[in-house]
Amino acid sequence: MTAITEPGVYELDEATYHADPVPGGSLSASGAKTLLRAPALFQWEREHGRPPKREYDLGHAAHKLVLGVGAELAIVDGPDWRTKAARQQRDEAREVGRVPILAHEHEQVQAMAAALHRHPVASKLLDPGRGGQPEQSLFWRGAENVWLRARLDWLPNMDGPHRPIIADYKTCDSASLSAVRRAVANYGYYIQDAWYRSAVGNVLGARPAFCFIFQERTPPYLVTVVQLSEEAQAAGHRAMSRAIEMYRDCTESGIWPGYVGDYEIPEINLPPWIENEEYA
Amino acid sequence: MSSEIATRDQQPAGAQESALVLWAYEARQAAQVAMSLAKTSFVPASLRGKPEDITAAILAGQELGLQPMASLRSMDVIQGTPALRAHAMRGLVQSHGHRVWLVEQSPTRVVMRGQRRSPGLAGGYEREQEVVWTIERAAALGLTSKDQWKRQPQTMLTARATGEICRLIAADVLYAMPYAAEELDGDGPAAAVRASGGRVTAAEIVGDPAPQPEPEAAPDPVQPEAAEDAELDWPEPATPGGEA
Repeated sequence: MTAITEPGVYELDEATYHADPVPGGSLSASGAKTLLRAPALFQWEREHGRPPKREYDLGHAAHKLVLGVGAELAIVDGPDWRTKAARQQRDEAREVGRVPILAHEHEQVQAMAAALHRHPVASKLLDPGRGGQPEQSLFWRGAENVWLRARLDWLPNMDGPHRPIIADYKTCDSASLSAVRRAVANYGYYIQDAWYRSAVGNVLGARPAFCFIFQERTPPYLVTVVQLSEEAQAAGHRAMSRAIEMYRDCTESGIWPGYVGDYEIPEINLPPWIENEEYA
Repeated sequence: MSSEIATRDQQPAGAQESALVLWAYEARQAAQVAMSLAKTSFVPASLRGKPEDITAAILAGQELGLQPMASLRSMDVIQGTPALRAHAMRGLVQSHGHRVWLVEQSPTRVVMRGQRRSPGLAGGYEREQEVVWTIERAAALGLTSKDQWKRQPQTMLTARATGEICRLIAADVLYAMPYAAEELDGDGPAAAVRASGGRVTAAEIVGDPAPQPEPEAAPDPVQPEAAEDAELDWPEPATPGGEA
């Protein structure tokens, strides 16, 4: 069992990272996002693990082919997961830490990787030739002396001839700018942006840039590379600070509230769209 | 029934509105001033070309009793939040009659003491409070890897100690801006936001190798503090409150 007690960059497999190797616990960006929704959800996921989701498998597989690292794929024959045999293979694969994926999905993910490698900017951002390492785990003490961790898809080389740019790869239904903007807001990617920049700043003393690479899951697998505005980055840092404070308070008190405190009865108003209805 | 509710609701709302309307008027005036100041060298580098941030600094300074130009000399906007620089925080607290002084200062250890003014007490002050900032304490918070901490640890330790002692003895004076700019900046977020070298361009990624971006592409928030080394050196505090 790996135990991390010193800040630094570590080469860990995904399972070890997600199991949180810091004695006493550490907070990750995705943990912070859950915590900000409701501390009780965070605590539940920490104790019970995150339920596997189909979208995660496809995303994992794409990561594997694009970045060349991550859990091994288990390719399952069959058109879908409806047969008992297919589901059995899926469960067996997960048990041994492999990512189950249907044969036609595997082809799809290969085509995605090929399309990504054809994209002039995205391919460069993830190019080992520029210097850098995929899937690196960073651990550090942040504000409030809380241990924090981050697992970067791509940790750029800080001392090379190029400006270091953190790159994070996302698969999505639509890579249009409006859809990407919504995704950055809805899935808290702006928090991840702040988190990773802080990770690199604290552990390596560097101030890298950050790009997100979004790729559609359907042909022609369009790719959009974006960077967050200063305002969006600042919002990420504010959310990060709030999450760290909540984490510290909940850890110290041992109380992990739901959406509101158990003894609070907030008054709610109608959403604005219904106030305008004539019968309201 | 509805008229009774309306009457009850309207009175406080009306009273609030007049204060708010006045404030909004002042805010608009501040915004106009900010537009004309934004490009001048009277504005510190971290605020230059950012009239919205200048407006926020002027308005926040007003709540603390600072004149607009004093606000601009005393403040940085860190992640969109106006924060007093350490020297201004010290000056503000002292201008309210509280005592803050330096006991020990080296690149590895800074000790500061302070006393809250309390006219009702014999001697006129509450008992002394002391804060100690050591380089080990800063390292435990992950601060020492930052540029500023490597370059001027004594100044950064002093800024940290200043913020802490001021909060201890005179939190009421600082309620609008409880953290010194150096404290917020030292934690990295603002540095990370503004000093990552600015926007990424496709040319720098596809070109081989990419040139480092010009410094003016992204105003470096580190500069204002570097420039005020002399100001931070004890014992000449600015007294922005006194200019009001």
